[in-house]
Amino acid sequence: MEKFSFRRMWQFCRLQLCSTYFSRPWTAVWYLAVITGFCTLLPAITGDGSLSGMMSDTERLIQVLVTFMIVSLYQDLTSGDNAIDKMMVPASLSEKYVSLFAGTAIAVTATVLGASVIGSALYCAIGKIFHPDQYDGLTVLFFRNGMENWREILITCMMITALAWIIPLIKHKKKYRAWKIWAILLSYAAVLFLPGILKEAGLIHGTAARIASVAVMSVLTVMNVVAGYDMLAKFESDINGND
Amino acid sequence: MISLENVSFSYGQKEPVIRDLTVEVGNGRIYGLFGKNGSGKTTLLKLMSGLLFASRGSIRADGRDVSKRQVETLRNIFFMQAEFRFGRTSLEKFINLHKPFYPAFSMDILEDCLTESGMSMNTEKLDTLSTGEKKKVMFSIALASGSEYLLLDEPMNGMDIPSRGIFRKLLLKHLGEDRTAVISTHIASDMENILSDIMILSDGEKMFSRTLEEISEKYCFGYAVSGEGSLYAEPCAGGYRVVSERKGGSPTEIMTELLFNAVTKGRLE
Repeated sequence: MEKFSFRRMWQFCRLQLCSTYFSRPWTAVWYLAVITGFCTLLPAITGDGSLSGMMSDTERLIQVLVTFMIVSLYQDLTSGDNAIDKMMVPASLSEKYVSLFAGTAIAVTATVLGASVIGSALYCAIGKIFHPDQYDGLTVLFFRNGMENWREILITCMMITALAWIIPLIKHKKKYRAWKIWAILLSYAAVLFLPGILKEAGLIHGTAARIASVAVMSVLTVMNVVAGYDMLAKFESDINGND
Repeated sequence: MISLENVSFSYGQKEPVIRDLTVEVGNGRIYGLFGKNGSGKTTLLKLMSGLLFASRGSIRADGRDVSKRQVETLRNIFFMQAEFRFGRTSLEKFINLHKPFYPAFSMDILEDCLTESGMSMNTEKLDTLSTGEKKKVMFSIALASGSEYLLLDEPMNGMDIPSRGIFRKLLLKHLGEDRTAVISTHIASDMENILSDIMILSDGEKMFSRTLEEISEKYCFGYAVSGEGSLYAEPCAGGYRVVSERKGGSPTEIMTELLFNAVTKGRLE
């Protein structure tokens, strides 16, 4: 087992973030503003008139978007056309793998903070102009309910870690039979939604379903991390290129 | 030393690109890797660098399994691809981000290579450079990396004629006695006078790998009015270019293109 170096992991994380999200910082800020604007205006147009409901919808939309931030980093890690292939950069596999999540965490935090500032300002304006009856001062997106959003955070973590094995699975789909890929994805979804299905069928109560759901998500997150590492170790730049 | 033992590889379920190949890449040598289009040169370099895994056989660099991608292995193998992109970054930023991973990285070598190639450390937008310029920058980085094995896939593609001369000069100047370069190319004349070994890959199966001394000892190259009695002959103006078995006499200059044709047509093994 190779020694894990935090220093090298951070260097690799910096390398990846600089070549993906922070290569043009002002462009990144501009994109963030546009995306947040879209995520704010869409619920404002299609919403039912409740300011709080619109804010929840905006948070959900941004939550879905940040889940996919790992895709760019994974793409950069396994891309075969970088000047120095990231898989060839002298860092161990575990350092690269941890860096993938560290980089995603940094990008997600920056996006959530940026989106909460921009989104809150937009909702302040929307509230004052269109819903003065519901407006009671500045409300900061994502921080409205204190730390009560832990379940949402767990869902985001689970989805991000799941993408660590789903991306290579889809990228190398030719290596596997189609039915195998579908079987894996459907079994995963079945396990994930099992507590909800049992609750709907009346077999377990609401509280038990919630506890079972958190337990299933925690186990799946651990499994995702292990499976993702295994898939990265097997990763090959197998595009038949120049020869 | 990088050693490949009975290595086979295929892309998915397709026919193997590399079949049961055994070859060694020694230290302190400059190898010219030749082969027809699709013969498996790039695949072979990717296998040596650990970007691809052999479906059979083993590949080791200084005793370590390259498919494990250990830090020491990655530090010692630098793979320069035939086609690549830098992204929107300046050269200085690119170097600052990559240099920490290569403990033996030499800024002196980098600056010397860039100056000789007519490039500058102050290049702002790497993605706007021409193909030849990108290759010059990348080759400079490869030499400066301090990696023991440089695997260069068509490094001179896109370079103009003077730049090709500078490439050869810089390679000889900075490679040193312990470092090895494996250079894949289609243009034999690019490599004249710098190679110590010639590797010719025929359809991913047979590998002709000899030092120049071995080739000179065994074969002689020249012109003749007839191809009779030679191992391989091909017509040229006024007669034939021939490869014959050397039976005494002084060694002749190796005609790389003729050697390549003789090997790929199965006349030399």
